[in-house]
Amino acid sequence: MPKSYDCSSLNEQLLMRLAYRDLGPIAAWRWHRHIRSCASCQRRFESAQMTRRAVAGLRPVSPPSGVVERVMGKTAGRPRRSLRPGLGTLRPVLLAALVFLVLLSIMNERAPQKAPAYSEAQVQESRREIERTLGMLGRIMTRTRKAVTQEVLSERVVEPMKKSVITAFKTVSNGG
Amino acid sequence: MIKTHRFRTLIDKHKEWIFTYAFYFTGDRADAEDVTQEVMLRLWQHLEKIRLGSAGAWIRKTTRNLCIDSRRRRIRYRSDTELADQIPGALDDPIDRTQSSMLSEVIYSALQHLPDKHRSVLIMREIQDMSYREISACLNIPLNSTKVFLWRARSALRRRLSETLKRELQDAEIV
Repeated sequence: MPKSYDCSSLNEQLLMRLAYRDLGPIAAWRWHRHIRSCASCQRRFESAQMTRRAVAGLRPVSPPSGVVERVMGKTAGRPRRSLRPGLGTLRPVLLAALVFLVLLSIMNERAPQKAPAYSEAQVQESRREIERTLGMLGRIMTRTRKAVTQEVLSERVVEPMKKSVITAFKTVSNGG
Repeated sequence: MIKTHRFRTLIDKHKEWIFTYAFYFTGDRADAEDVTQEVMLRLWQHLEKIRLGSAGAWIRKTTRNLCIDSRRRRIRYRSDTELADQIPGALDDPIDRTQSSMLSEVIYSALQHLPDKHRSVLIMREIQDMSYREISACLNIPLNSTKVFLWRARSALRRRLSETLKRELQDAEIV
């Protein structure tokens, strides 16, 4: 907000804002009051308004139809850039994956080799122990399987057979 | 097929923007046609890489860059009269060449003397009716800079217009 509404305060920006109706109503009214009484500012204001009208007279322009048709003709004969559609979008991902793998292999090569924590004899002993345990587990499983099979057989085959034999024997002994 | 359809849709939507900007920025119809054609061809080449919602921004940025290149390449001299002859509608009305069209000629030639960014902001705001926010996004400048550039461009045009009118008045007095 200027201290006074006179020629010295009406700078270029204020003048253009006034011409483009970009000032508040009270400030605009005060400036217009000054402009009406000052010939110099009136001339400047008129030229600002004239500029606004002239710029408003510039219109958007449509391109000649030949331009679009030429482009459409050229694009119709153009080969696709990418042979596989869709691969183009994946290319950065593939590249990043490749870089990652290369870096990983380099890091693995450069990584210091750790000293083994156990001696060879200890490893062999552990291996034998594991093999023994596995063998024992295998035997237990075989026995269990046999027992289960035996139980199932007895329940589903032997017992019904027994019952049918007893029934048949009773029938025969009753003289039927 | 889908690509062609999308391309056609984008061209139909943005062709006027591209040509208008190029025309007022370069100040030459032939250059504007070249720029328009180049933008469209580049759009076709990069269509698969451009995301669905960002095609407009891509087009505006490419147009602007090509216009700057075109202006830098251009070495031939054109007088203000030749420039004014190309203004759309300026000479359409032979009965009365109005004050408005005469002023438009002066403004059109004055436009060519503005710095690139000032000219861009003025074209986008005054002729292409873009918002401050759209302009600042397009030119990648802060919102306040957009407003400052616009005021400077308008002031420069006013000064040039005043000088031209003053000169014409002086010439008339001499005659």
